[in-house]
Amino acid sequence: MDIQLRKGLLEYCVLAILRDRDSYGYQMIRDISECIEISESTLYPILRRLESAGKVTSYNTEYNNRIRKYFHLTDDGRQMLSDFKSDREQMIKVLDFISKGEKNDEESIL
Amino acid sequence: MTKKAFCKELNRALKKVKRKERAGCINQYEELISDLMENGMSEEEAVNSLGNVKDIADDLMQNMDQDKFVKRDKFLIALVTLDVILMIINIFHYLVNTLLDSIFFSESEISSIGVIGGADGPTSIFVAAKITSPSSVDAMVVAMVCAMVVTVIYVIVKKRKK
Repeated sequence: MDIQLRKGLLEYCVLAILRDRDSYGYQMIRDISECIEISESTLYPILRRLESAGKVTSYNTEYNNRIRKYFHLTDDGRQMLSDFKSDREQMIKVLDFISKGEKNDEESIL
Repeated sequence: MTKKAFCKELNRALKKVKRKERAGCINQYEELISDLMENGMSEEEAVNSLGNVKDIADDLMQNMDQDKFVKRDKFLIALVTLDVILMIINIFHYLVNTLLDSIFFSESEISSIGVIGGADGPTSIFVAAKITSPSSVDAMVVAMVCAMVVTVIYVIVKKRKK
């Protein structure tokens, strides 16, 4: 998938995962991997970007004598996520439009 | 590779990234390696599973925004270089002068030479003054101080703007 498109979608995946409970890096990679391939080198910059934009906050907790960084969804982030849901119809429309063009291409080739 | 070695290498590979962002990434990797180890991997396996450090760094930087990178201030680099060069010249000058003085003559001896070799009366004062005040060094000292002051002011103004 295109890098820019992927980056955008992954941002929403991260927000979606944090909707119900706070999570940390390793857990988030495992959860998101269920639907889309993600590496930690992709996730970390996204987390930091979301954090500096105020969509998520982070806090450190001690776990097994080391520090684990948990991420928490802010109201701002929650808003962004629900805005995306209303964009969904628009997105499906765009996807349909793109694949319709594809079908026409195939027909013209045949 | 150990966790520590991995973090060190990653730090080096991310040298173009701003300190804060870099530290954040490295902390996350440290945490991840610990998590992998708690899920049954050895330290070696955990680090190896992440892949090549350079690839990781490239991937991280590709996903970062442009404002997360260190911007090199060429003007500041030029100023600091000038400062260093002037300082070296001045120190060299000072060392040579004191060395020559201690080997040959003290200042008062030099001025008396001026008197003996030159003339007496007002001319002797003129000759002695010529020998004892190395004006070219003074100019260099002034230049060095000026350059340093400009550098400091530039840095302060830049910090203020931020």
